[in-house]
Amino acid sequence: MRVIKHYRIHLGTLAWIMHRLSGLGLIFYLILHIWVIHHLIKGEKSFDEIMEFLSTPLFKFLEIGLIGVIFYHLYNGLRVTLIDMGVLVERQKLLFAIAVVVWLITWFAVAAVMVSRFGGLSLS
Amino acid sequence: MKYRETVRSGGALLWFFQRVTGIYLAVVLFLHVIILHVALKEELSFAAIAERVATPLWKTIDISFLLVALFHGLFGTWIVLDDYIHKGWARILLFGLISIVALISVTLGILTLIPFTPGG
Repeated sequence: MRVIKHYRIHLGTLAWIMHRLSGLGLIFYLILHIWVIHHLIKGEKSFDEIMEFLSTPLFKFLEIGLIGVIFYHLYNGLRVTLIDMGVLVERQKLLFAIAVVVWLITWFAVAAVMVSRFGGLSLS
Repeated sequence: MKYRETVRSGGALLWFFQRVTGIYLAVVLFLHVIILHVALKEELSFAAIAERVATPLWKTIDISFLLVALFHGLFGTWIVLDDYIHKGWARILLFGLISIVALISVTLGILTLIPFTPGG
């Protein structure tokens, strides 16, 4: 326990752990996503049925979370790539702060649009 | 616990490829989210998707998106497992499992995207 108490998680380590966890979550989602979209092969009825099933509040809520995971992995990935290329290496904490700010702003913007559609879009 | 020091030829190249595919995905995935989840005028329907995927440009983007995303994601999974799984048999088993998932997912994705043609 003493070891754990003295183990200080640095910002870069936290970003790295979150990158791995979000990445594993995203590949799991991607495989599910491919399975869901493959219902297109079975025709319109089959596809509409699965989309209907996925239009419940639970899945809408999960979708907003998914956007957050995607955007975190995306911006932190760009930050890691910049550092790997030797860009802004000395300013990596600033770079992480920028990534977090852009992450939260774009996530909330997309989430706001999604929430505003909870009543449903016009089906024309 | 012993750490296997293996020289993996091509490791650096794969690492570089993970960055290149990452940049491609950052662009295409961002557009995918905005176009299909934000800038929508109506609910996603079979007809709307069929019309979009039938165009050569979207078909090319979607197929490359599928292949690149699966490579990046499954290779990324392997990078993580590689750090924690050191037993030879477990590594072979997991690598085989990832390969099978890759094969099934690519096949399923391609079969979904190919049939759509303009006017069809």
